[in-house]
Amino acid sequence: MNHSFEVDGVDFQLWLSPCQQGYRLRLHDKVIAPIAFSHQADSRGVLTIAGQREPVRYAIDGEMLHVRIRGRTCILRYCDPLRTLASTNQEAGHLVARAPMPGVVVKTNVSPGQPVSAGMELMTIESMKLETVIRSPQDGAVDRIHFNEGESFERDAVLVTLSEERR
Amino acid sequence: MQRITSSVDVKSQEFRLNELHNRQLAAELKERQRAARFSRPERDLERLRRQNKLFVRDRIEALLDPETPFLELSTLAANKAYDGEVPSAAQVVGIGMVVGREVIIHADDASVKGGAWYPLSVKKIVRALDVAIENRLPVVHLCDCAGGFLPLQAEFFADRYHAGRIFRNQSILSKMGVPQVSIVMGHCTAGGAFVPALSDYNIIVEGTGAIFLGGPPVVKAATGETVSVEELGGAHMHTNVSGTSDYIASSEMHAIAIARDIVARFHRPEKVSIDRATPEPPAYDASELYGLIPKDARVQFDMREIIARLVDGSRFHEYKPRYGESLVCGFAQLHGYQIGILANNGVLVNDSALKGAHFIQLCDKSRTPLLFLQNITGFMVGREYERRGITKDGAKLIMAVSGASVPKFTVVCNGSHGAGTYAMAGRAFDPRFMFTWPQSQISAMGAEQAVGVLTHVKARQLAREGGRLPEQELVAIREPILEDYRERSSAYYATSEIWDDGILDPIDTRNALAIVLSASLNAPIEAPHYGVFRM
Repeated sequence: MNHSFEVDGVDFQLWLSPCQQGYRLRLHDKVIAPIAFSHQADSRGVLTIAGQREPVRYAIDGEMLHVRIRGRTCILRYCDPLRTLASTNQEAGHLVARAPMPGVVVKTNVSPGQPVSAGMELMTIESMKLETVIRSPQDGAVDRIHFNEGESFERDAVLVTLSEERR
Repeated sequence: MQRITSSVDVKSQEFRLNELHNRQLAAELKERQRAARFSRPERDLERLRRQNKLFVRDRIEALLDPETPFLELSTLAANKAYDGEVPSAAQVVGIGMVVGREVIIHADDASVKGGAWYPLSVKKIVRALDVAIENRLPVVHLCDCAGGFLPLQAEFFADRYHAGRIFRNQSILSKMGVPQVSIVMGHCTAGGAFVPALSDYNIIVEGTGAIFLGGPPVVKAATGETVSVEELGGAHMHTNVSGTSDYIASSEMHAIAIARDIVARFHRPEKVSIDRATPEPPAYDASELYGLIPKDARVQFDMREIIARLVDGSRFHEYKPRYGESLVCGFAQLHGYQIGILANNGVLVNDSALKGAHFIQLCDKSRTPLLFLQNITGFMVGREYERRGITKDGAKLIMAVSGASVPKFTVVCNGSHGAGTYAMAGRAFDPRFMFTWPQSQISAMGAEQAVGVLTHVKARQLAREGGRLPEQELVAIREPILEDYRERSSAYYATSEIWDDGILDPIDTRNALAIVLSASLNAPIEAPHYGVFRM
């Protein structure tokens, strides 16, 4: 499985493997070798691409890599296959927030029709003397709130139903 | 170490004819391998596409690190069985690199009979797991098996090395601390259900993956309950409810990405350190092997010429070169790894057996892996040799071969017959890996000799009853016996039955050996200890 980087919205599949004089880079069907990098100071170094030495400056910020080379600045984003390959099509099961355990509704943070994003607080429940926040499993809009404050429910009960469309 | 000086005339007529012959054999091998890997009826490939499944070769390619070698084992398993309808025994097995880690890959091939397990499929999987145990290699299973092929269940179900051994081996691997990860890419039914369940980690693909001991039809027949695949053993059920699976993946590629992430976390044990030098290519070109192996398998050739085209710089430190000359022994380096080589230059006699037994112990003491290059018709027979104790000396060699703690590797270069097969680390002696060259013949006795013995026995039987075997009849019974005997002593038959780990094009031997040498060093080497040598 290749590594994948995105530059200006374009996806690049590549692989770096060791060879006798450093590394060889396979980029789609092209092979570039030798590739080497010598780190010089903080965020500076010399990149050797097919024998040509290029001074570079760079900054790494999580999955983003800012590189200044040949008077140009490029922004590369590492595309983690664990994220990019995970399918985005959510099935209907994700359109509900369920009760992880039996309990009582303490507070409702949203109202029907309200647009919500994944991770947003929908409701606070109390169970076994602990308060738990129920969050939205995905982006959407609140369709229905099934229990009022003070009402109790069983485990796996549907607490909030979402609709896919933001109204 | 001295460089071997080749004395072969590469311009001779004989060399050219051999070369032509052996290149043809290599081309035939490549074609048969290609067909076993890729030739499938269109309807089977179409079914995979319809089910939204990748072809097994594409799954493996995605799993492996790009630009790294994959040593496939037993590609031609079952090529002579089941009317040739189960290529590779419906299994792909090999050693490859996943996130920089050497692993064994075992994959069901759903394009062949829905990935059903035939007797030879089971044998191939058991062997793959034996390789994992012996060399402590982590395993990645790509599961897509509809279950065992029931009409042949008597040949793969109940015996010691039958299907139960797969699950036993998986459990032993886990106990040894050698991790396994399974990806459930299709239905894992009946025994196949235990493969992911017995793996330390498993991933199930949403939609196509399912695990159950009995599929919906079996449940219906047994209890009358009607249940869907998804309800009975789908990805959501197993990851949310039963806990049989650990991770859910939205596609095969997603599952492979998760598997790679898991393998990346595996503990990397220190490899055994053996003497190593900087690798260098042989001084003689490997392609000259084609001209060296005689067209006629009965023609003797000097194994040093073969060694010169396998080892680093063609350098060979020969041990005891003037004693027991029919067994060439010596040290060399292969891709930098120090190895001890035992190679046949004729029939084994007392001296050569003694020399071999001594040399094996030398290598064992100095932690030097052993390479056996077989071209052996057997041990010498006859009154004089028996009086000198050929059986006793042969027993010493077998004792040494069996007892050696260092990894052993065997290549059948030409002939492998009789007790010579055993004394030269044949399959029964647990070489870590065993390969065969295309022209090789493997049998208890050479075909001609065996037919001679068989017809002799027949004639004697008739003589006792007062009859005689007319010459004509002799020829008539001779030919079919000879034909059958030849067929079942061929390299293709041997590899079909998984007596080896695959047929190699001779020029690929050096690289294959380097990969298996490297893989073998994942397992620690025990201190040398032996049984009783009959003196």
